[in-house]
Amino acid sequence: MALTYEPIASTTLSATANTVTISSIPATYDDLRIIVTGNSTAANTYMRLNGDSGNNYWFQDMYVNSSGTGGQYADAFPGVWMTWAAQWDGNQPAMAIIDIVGYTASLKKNIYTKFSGINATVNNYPVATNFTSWNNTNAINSILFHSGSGASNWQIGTRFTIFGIKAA
Amino acid sequence: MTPILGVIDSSKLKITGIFDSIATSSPTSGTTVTFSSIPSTYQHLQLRLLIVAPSGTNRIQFNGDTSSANYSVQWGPYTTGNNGPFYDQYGPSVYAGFPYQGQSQTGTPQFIIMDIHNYASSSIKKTVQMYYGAGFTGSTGQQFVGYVEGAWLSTNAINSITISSGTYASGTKLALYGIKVS
Repeated sequence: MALTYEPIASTTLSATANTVTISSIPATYDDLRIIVTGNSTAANTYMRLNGDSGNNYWFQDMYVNSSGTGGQYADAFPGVWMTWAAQWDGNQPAMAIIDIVGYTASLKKNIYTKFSGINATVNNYPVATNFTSWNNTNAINSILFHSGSGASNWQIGTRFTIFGIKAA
Repeated sequence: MTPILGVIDSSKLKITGIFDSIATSSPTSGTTVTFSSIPSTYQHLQLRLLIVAPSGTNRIQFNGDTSSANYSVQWGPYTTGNNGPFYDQYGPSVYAGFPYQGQSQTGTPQFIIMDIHNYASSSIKKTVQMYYGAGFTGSTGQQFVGYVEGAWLSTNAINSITISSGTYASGTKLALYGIKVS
């Protein structure tokens, strides 16, 4: 049986960082799964694909936290939002799982994020699901994980892992 | 500090025999694809679907069973725009699960990831969990995201899966994987 699910890149931060970029992603798989565990001092974090910082991302979110539930959208945003509504707090553990189905297909890209964490600062325990459509048909070959503007950083110990999934 | 990382040598990290590709299809026409002769050697199945079909709703059924009494579906939570999350019950249904909203458009695919639990069991009814999304870039507030939970009320082992949609177009890729626990 052919190998179908394998890690293709992983890094754990030994120092804080505002951005982390994983590049040279091979085009030999069908899907990507990305797992981010750790924390950020930014309330909200996002990704950029192939260095695209233009307003080329369409976003839909739904969430539940200690304040209730909600849904939000944003059209023509400059990134793939991993989280929304103050979900990281810089201290408590959190995780995001991101699926990109058909990351090399000559189609607009679907990016799906599931997030769960603890924001003790605002007594918030969010669970969120986000969907983003990237208005670009190029194969994804690099992903930048951005911890927001200003002095916000990914924290030491935060781990970024990308898996490749290959169909027969 | 801005780390920029290249791809590491994956040969040091390989996972084997846990998540295997069973079948794949890339239809460019028609409305139905069936994966048949599914081996019973895994614990669970996972469908990973990238669907380009400008109209129609995606549906999944097992072993050719079209009896409406044999399926049950729960939609939700799901959202679109600044609304929701919503929940809807739907069932019994002919189909094990399908997105409540979000049919794909030309050049803008929809994805579905569905887990099918204990598919080979001959003693328990089958449950599925699915999440999906679709985005119509360029149209205001026209992204969809949501979950579907469903059940096939049969204790038969699943040996075939039929995936129906609108007319499949280029770019569609339907993939079935087997998951082993140990």
